[in-house]
Amino acid sequence: MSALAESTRVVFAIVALVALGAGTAAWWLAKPMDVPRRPDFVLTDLEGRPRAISEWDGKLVLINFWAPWCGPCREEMPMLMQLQRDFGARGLQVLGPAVDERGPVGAFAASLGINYPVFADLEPTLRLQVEFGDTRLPYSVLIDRQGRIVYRKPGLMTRDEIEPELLKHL
Amino acid sequence: MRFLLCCWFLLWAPALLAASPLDKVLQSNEPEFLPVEQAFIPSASLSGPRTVQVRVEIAEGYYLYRHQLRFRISEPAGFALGEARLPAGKKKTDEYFGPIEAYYNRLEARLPIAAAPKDSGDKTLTLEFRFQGCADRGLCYPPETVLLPLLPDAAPASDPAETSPAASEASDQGQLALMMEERNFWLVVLSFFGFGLLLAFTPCVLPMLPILSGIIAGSAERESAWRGFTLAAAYVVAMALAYTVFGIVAGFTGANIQAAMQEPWVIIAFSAVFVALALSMFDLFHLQLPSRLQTWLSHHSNRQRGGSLIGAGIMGFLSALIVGPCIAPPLAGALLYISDTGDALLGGSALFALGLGMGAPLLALGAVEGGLLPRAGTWMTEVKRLFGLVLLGVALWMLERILPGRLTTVLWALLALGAMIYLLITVRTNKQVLRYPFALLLLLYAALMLYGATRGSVDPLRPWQAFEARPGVPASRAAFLPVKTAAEVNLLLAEAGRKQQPAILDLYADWCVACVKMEHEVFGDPRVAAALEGVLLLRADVTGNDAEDRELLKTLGSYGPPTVAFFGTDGKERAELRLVGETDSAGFLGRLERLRR
Repeated sequence: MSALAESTRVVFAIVALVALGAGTAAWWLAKPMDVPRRPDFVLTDLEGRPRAISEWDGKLVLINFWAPWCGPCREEMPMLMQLQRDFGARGLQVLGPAVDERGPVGAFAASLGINYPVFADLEPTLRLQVEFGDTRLPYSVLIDRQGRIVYRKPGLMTRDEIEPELLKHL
Repeated sequence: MRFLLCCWFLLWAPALLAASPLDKVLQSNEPEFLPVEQAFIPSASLSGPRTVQVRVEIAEGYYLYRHQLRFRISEPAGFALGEARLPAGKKKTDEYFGPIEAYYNRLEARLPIAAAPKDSGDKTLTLEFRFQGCADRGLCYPPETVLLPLLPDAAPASDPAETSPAASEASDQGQLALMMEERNFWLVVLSFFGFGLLLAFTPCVLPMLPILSGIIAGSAERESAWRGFTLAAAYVVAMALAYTVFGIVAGFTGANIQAAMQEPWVIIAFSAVFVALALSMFDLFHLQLPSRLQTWLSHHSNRQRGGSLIGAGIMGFLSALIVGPCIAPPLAGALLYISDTGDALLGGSALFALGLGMGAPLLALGAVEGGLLPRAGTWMTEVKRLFGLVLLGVALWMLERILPGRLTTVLWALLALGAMIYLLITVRTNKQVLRYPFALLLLLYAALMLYGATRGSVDPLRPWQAFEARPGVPASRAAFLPVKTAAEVNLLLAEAGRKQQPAILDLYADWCVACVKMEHEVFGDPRVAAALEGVLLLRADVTGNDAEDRELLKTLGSYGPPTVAFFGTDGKERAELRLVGETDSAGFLGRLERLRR
């Protein structure tokens, strides 16, 4: 190897390190840009009042799409109520938009004594689910305090799955 | 230089990292659920002029709610559907809805068209079908509404060629199920009795002839035609009952008891019964019910004959399940009807009538035999010995299902040798010269079978095979590719579909008498082999009736062998061609021709 080769080696090493750094930085920078923001929406609650999502800005919001006719949805609701009790004081807000008419939704919510806001607005809720990317039930979406969608979960969710996500963003 | 290479590689590292799927792996750790259009695949057709048939293929682990199904003809206006005929689903208790039913794997529904506008002409109907289902792992789909065009099930019915006898056999089990829905009770029962009569001389019933004859010849009292008739009647009624029970269970659960009875221990036990019967014919011992049971029976029936009547009944019941378990079109039709409608009364009655029809010739046989059998004396002894031999043959024939072919070939030879020796040692008078040629024939047969056994197995009814049987498959017969699982079949069919190659799938079992016969007479026919050139030939051997076999039958919607399914160049089954039950070369070739068309 000659002296020229020695300097070439140094140049290559520097170029390599810069490229590695730039690549990693680009990767980390690009990642948060992937995280989409929540859409704005207004849904009617069980009392017939329109409620806007902006009402809970600044909180960690767990939106759980459900329906009374959906078995797995009903199965996970006591767990969601427990989450609201355990983390409500630290800024968690669970919301339950239902894909059904107000009659059956209200009856079921009352029978279970759901401790978080439930909405019964069939058509807008279906459209909203499409915006959130999945029309299957149950469908849970976690929105952090900055309004970014940070976690999605179609299907039955366990406390072990959601709790680490909550703790990460509380 | 190595250093340079390292640097060059490092240059790429960030790019590789950024492009890696690691990002996605970190985000989606939850199990994937199927999209709704893959979880539930609905299709619909017109089955006959006034019935809509809806079928949904349901992915494994997914289910549809019965109470969420809605059907409506959306186009053209003026059509109304009657109440849907839905099979019984899996019962579940839902805390919200209470008791509900769910469908797994496949749903087949039939809907009568209750009203049609007069001027509907030949416009294509559109079915609006709404369904809602969930996955076992905890996910529900929103109610889904699909629009399905309703096309006739079979090829255009206006084609005059379609009404030829060969064509009218097509999709027969479906047509029979439909007939049951549309005709009145007694007409259906009468028709099935007729179908039974037609089936009476198929290979599935033939093995019952020697069994019943043996029972009558071995019966303790044999004074009259009436006696033979009552014994045969007990046998036949029990056989018909077995068909009824089998059909209702199969219709409701899809479980094939006949196939489930083909366990080695059942075969061995039943063969042992025949060997015992045979030995009692040779007067080696006297078969009698335990004395306590005999006392009980005579006490309750006031007739000493009760015992053998019940014995004949038990044999009849078991014969139907064990001896000749074959699916025939009327049987499949009735099973389809029961599983579609849950109507066990009409379905069961039809099956009972079918069994009685199949047994009617046996009644005649019983009466004739009871009347003709000599009262007593050496003649009777000879007849009994002959039946003993036949019963040994029946036992051996059943053991063929579980023993290796060469061994049974040797056993057939031994049976023939035994018969020959018996013939020779019992010669008492000079008048019995006729025995010598018979003995010679038996010796020849035994020699053929023994010679054949050294080269492979030989069909006992075709001893001349000893000269043609070669290890391997003769060139002039259709060669099947063995398949086992439903997934395997789907893969091969998809492959054939891509290559635009038609395919057939044959369901076969050693215990299926008609399958074995078709193997010789249809698939062994050089004309059939020639016609099958270029067709993908799949064969599923369901002899073992294990979980994978049952899964395959379920996927095909079949109750068992013999069944041959035909698949067009698009890889889809031509359901109207499906062959259920036995057929001959001509019938098979006719279907092949329609497949090619």
